[in-house]
Amino acid sequence: MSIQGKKMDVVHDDRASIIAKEDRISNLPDDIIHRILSFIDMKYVVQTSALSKRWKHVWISMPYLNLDSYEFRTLPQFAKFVKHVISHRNHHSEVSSVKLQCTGATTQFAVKSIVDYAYSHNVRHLTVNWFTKKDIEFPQYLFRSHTLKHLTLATSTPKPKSYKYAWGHLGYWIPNSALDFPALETLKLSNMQLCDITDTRLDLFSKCVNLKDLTLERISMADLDIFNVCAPQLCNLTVTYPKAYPKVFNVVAPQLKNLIVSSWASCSLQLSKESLDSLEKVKLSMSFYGYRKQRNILELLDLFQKLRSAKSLILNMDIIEVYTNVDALSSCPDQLALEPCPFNNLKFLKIHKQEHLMATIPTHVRNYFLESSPGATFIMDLPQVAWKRSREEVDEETMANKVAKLEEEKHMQDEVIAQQKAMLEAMKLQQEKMMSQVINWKMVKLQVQVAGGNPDFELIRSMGRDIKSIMELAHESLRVVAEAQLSCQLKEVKRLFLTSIDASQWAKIEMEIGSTGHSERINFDNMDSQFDVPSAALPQLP
Amino acid sequence: MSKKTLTLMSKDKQLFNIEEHLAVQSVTIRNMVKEDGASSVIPLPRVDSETLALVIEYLNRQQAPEEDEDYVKKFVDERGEIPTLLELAQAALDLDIKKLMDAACMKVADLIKDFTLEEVREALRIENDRTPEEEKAIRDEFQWAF
Repeated sequence: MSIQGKKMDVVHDDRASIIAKEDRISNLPDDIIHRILSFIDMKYVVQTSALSKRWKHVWISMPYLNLDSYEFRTLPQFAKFVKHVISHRNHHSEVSSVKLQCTGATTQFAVKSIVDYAYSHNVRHLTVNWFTKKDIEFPQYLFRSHTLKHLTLATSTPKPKSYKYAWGHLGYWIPNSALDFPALETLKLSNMQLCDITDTRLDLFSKCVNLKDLTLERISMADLDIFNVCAPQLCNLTVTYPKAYPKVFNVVAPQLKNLIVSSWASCSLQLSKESLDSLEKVKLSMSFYGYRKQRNILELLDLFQKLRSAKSLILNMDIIEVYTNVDALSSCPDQLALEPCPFNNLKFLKIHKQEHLMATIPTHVRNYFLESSPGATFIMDLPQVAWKRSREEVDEETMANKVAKLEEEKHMQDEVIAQQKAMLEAMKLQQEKMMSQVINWKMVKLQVQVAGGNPDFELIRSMGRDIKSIMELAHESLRVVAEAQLSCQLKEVKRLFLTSIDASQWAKIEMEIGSTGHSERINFDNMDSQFDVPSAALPQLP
Repeated sequence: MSKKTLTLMSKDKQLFNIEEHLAVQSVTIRNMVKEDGASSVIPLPRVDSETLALVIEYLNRQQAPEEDEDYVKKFVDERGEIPTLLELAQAALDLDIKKLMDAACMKVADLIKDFTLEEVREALRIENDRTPEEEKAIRDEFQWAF
């Protein structure tokens, strides 16, 4: 990569060229030092106070707090550390983000003091990753803040291998009352159980009026009849590998643009009417169990009907395979034939191939998706790699990344469409140039013929054939231009060489070339019977 | 259509040209352009010419948006010297280019992450201006973190 900014004017300033080579960092603003330390655990951040006098107070105004109980040998040590950090910290400096990694129900007190401190200092980002051996309910104090914008709440497999719980331990409950986060924009809940002891309806997000991004990752909603996602500002909804669905997963989100669902089976996602209007991108990855296939198909057909306004659709091959076999599996054999194509606004359809599944898509399935959207771009991507990647993405994506990624993907699609348009434009331009040149060249030859006073009509007839054949291949809009050019140039030749040959010869030439001399437009259709034209090697526009 | 060009001046008075639509990735420059059209030279009194050349190289990158994250990581990786990274971070702070600032700071953090305090001092050329007694006093004051 070359540096494009050019040095224009070099004025040496000797004083300025002496750059302090020593201890640059201590002279940098705290903003930079804090940002560097934001990637380091708080325990080591506090230790920097010993570096030099300048560093004694750097940590006390840190706006980013990373606290991890695994950095301490015992939980009481961690609790003591938390207590000291909070009491020594400069309470006037902002708390921008808090990342908390903690283990054990016994750290409850320490966790509460951090969360309370963060919330009272108007924290904007909070990430909590919790490990415990016991089944616990998340404490209520976690779910109330008027400033929090981004919350990630995750539970994971405990770090030490000796823990008896394997991956998928779901001993964490979200309390049954609505989350009180009026400023919250992104929320990610990962690996936990959503349930309600008193009610089989759960309406967690009714107070999150500004929620734009919601990710539910490996969530169990097994005991629920109805799980409501009612969020007026919600743009992006991601549901990946749920452990269990509720009976009804109800989404009311009038601003919903992007929907990502990755699942081991089809989901009983109920989208409200309003949720459909602004839907743009839908990405579904599903794997099916044999014995449930029939039910899955019916649910899928139903889901596709609801997603009909999607502009971009990304599916995995499993879905296509189930679709292909719909007749064999369905109780009503012509299910798919009866099912109207639901998508009438599709601009982009992408199928993620999978190695062990079929390699092509049967025509009737393709028609089902694309029938009503003839202009849509259709892509089958490379086997396995993309599929693997897409799963990893789903697991590892952070909320912020995801928003960016969704935007990028949308951008990419726009780019593909733009590229294709540009290509068509370029082809059209090229064709126009070629036609113009062929006509010029033929006219020069004609000039030579008439200037000699004794034209070879056989040659002129073949010129006419050539011109007609390229006209036929050209797009209609170009043909009109070319015909006008031909007519114009023919007149010019006639004007220049009118006296070289007689009127009957001119009439014959005009007939062979195709210009009537009276009209700007030449009608080749009348001459079809005279010429048997071989096709020329011009690119043909669709 | 000709693209509008801006001129940036480093603290050692060297001038650099950059197209306006690329320069406005810097929030600082974007605000200046919005306010007064930024027709004259934009001075950057805390950024030396070597660093500014790097920043311009970064702003001129031709990456697709989806490769951008990787690009900025690679960009700072290739300039993995701590002094360079610190200058870059300072420039990115002044120009308000968040991605570059974060990447440079993260790289510095990665480099010193597993260091002992003495190694951190060495790597960052921090002079210990305390006597051993004074240092012990600090360690005692914050003994809950050591």
